Amino acid sequence: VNRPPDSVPNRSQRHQLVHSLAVALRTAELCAPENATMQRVISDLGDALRSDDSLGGPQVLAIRNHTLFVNNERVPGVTADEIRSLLYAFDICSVNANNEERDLETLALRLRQHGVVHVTLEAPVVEQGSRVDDDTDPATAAQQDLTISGPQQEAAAAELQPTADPGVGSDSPDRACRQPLIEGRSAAALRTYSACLDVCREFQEAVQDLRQLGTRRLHRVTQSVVDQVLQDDGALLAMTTIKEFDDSLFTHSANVAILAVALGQRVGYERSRLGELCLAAFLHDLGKIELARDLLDKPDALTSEEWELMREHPVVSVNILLTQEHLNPSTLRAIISGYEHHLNYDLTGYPRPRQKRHISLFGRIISVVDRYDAMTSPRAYRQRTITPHEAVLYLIGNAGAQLDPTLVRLFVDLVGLYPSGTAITLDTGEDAVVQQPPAAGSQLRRPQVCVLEGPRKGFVLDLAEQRDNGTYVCSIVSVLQPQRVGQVYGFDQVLFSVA
Amino acid sequence: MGCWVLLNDSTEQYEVADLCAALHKAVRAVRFYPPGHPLATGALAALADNFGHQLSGPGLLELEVTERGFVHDDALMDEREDLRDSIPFLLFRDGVRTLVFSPGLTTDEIHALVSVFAQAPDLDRADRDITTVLWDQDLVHVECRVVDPLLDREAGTTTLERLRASLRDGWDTVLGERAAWSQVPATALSEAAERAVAPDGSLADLLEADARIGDLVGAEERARLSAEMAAEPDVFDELVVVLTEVLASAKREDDLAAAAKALSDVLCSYMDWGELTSLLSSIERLDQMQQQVPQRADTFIAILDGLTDPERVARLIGKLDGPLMTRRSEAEGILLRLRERVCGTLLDLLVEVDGRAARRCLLNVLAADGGVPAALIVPRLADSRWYVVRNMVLLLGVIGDPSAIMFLEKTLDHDDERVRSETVRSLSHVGGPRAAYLITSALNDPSSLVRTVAARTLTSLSGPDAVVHLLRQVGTRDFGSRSETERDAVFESLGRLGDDRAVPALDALWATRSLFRNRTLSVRLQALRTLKNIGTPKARESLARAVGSGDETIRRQAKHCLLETEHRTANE
Repeated sequence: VNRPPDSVPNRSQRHQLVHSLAVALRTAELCAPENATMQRVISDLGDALRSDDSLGGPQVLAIRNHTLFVNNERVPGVTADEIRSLLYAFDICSVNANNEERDLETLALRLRQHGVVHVTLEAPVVEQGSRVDDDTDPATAAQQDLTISGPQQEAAAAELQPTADPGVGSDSPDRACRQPLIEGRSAAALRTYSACLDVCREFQEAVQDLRQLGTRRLHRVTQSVVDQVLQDDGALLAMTTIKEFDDSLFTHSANVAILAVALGQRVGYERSRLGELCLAAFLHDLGKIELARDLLDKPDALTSEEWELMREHPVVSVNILLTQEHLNPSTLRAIISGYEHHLNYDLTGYPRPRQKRHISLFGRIISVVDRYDAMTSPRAYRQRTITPHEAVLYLIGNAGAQLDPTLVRLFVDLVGLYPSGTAITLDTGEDAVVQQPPAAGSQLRRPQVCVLEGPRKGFVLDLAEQRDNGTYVCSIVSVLQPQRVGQVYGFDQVLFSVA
Repeated sequence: MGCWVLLNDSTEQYEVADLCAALHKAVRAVRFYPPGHPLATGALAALADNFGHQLSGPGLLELEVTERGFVHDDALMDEREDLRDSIPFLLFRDGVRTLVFSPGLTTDEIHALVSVFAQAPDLDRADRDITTVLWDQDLVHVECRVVDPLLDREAGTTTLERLRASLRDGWDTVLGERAAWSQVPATALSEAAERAVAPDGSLADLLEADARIGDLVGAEERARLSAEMAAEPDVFDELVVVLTEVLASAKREDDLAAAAKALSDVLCSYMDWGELTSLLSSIERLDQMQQQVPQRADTFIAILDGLTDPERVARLIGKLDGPLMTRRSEAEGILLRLRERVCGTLLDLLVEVDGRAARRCLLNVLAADGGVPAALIVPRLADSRWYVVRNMVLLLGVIGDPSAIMFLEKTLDHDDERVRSETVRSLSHVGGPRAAYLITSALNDPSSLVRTVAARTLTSLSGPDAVVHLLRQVGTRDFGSRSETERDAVFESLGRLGDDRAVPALDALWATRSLFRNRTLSVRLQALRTLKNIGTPKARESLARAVGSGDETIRRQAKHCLLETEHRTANE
């Protein structure tokens, strides 16, 4: 659907507004009112409010099916993390965001009433449902758009009671330690991941037996992946740290599908298109099924003939999919992006195009995440597996030439500089593993990590936590290389015992 | 037929039962009537009213899905005898257990919902189910609760258990080796970091200490991405690009065959859908690729076979005069590229089509670039319809083959003057002494139309004798009473020939008066203009004499013509 030309900046502004609000709410949860970071996010929120030209009337925020609407218009690209921040605020304010729409003023009022954050919304909306008078002094209005200060300590403490003894620095707020990953959330992610592997196995068997690929279950699985990414991308992203189980082709396909959906969500695709992207990512390496197993697992460098065969797999993927019944636009997109996923942004790579051409956005997305997952997966021919952190640096270094630079930015925005699974050493001397990327508004180098040893073993720390004086509670000092593999699982051990 | 089973008589249940009935009715209407049919639109409007009424308050509408029918508040709302006709049964079969509608449900969402239900019985054949198709629709005010979203089976559980065990072992192994973990060598990291800001440093900001999640992509970059998504190329257009690449690079025969067949299917679909811009650019892309990979020319050519199917070409041509008129120039462009292989079809169509745009398109295609072989045309000259013969005559002229004259000679005797006049034109295109002779003979045709065309075309062919033949026409007794168009044709030709031999006759024409003054005056004035066009000294002398005429009109016209002639001579 062609959108009116002026709607793109509007949507972008609305996304910025939602992002700023989510960051402000989250920062208010973590920082004291006078904290410099708090002041900065309040300033950013004010800027976002003032820059939204359409803020002449009530801004109705609504969340339905994990999609955020502002004034009944979808705001694409809003992350699960941002939505979670808003839902959390709605929740603690007793606002049922799933069923009822609330405008900013209502939210502000509730926040004020609950004393979690102090919000003053004076202009342009003065009373619910009414607009500011036309003769309001614009200068005054500009100064009074929205003011948010940090939590009142007592109230905040009641709301954000920690679940474990932090044990780090006496001046550290108790909020530094967070609850471990919720059992059900990870279990659901693992169940979906397991279904992904099953589908891959079914596909491999079907291709080898020259049978038709059954797509009904594949659709169910891809749709589950999308729904989970929209609800909570962190849990499913953590699953992509699984690199070796049964056939590495299965885990790779599943990981690429999950990462592609998460990146596609950042790009701004709507749900149904994310379903298509997931399907395309799932099938991107279908052609490798027809390659000899010992070629894929060869511990030595490939000969030029072997490379020729390897480079054929995108074409073979096209053939396999073309011979399927029930081709539809989703399958066609899978054919296109499967063919393109080894094609570089600068049209180098393979299969080398004979004419100048455009690479589809699906193809470019899958290219980024495929490369990331391939680099961070153990391979027989590698001495050492690249760590997730190094892989991210590699992507940054190759943006613009091999990879779409905007997509690389969005990918870093998704996983941070230390993606899930990265083993690190903290300045406290503790070893930890990254479990969640940094939250919205946090520094790229400050993810949420799980301590691997010592008295705080199993504790999840948010490295964005600051002391009252504005210094960070913990920081990463080095990246670890866990033996042959480049990372450890990025999810909690509690998962293994879930029935 | 349905029967109603209401377990109690609350008003709300009656209303929900009405809604379920309206839903069934709308689904049937959409299934059996074409889009826009009054019954379908009426049923959809009634359903929208029902939903509007039910969802006017803040509450949700929840319908439990059972094999027998929808259940609301523990009451069965409807029951269908024929399960294939039962929406609840089909939903139940695909795992849906509850449908929840929330306030704000839009008309578009209702239409999409009904459309999915209407195609539900056919989804099996497409290896889909209602659940996944509803999900694709992304209806934000309709929640579909499914009993098993993943369609898990025994094998699924096994994999999950094995995976969990493997992770536990893997975790223990990794942690057990912790003593041997090493720091990533500083060199590796620093090298990666160095690469990270290369080659143009455009992403160096990502490595700065204060770079934050959510701030990495600016508004401008985001807007550019949104614009790209909004203008994403058609999936078939992208597929054509990929398939063409595959054709050029595939090494295995079956890869090549699959791509060729798929590409042929896409191109045929383009033609069937009337997507002529895409079809034309696809054919051009194929042409370019064929030049780059000449060894696969046969494959590229074979791909276009489907497009030459007579019925498909006829449908394309038929659309040119239809209500959804396809752009003629694009259709011509496509047919031109296929012409060698569809000549016979196009000629047949030219005989049969009624539409003006279609005939024009066919003629343009058949007449372009030297036309089509005469052997294909000649049999159609015997057609009983004058316009068929006229079109064939036109095409013979385009060919310009002297052998065509023997056929044109016959059509010069055709009963219809339009065929004869087209024959004269075609003869002029073919040229040669025989053609000139035949055109000269056409000056005596009983039809003014034919004589006019002959007079116009004669000058280019018959050399010095042309003026004699034309003057013979001027000298006929009825010349003054012939149509002005015909006389114009004769005089214009005489003027173009510029032969002094015409001057005496013209001199006599302007000087002669007639009883039928009005008619003659126009002839006399035409004679003066012809003298001006001849422009020789002898013609100027005649004009100079006319300047002295006693007739005011003749005098004024002659003066004007003389001035123009002298001016032209001076310039020369």
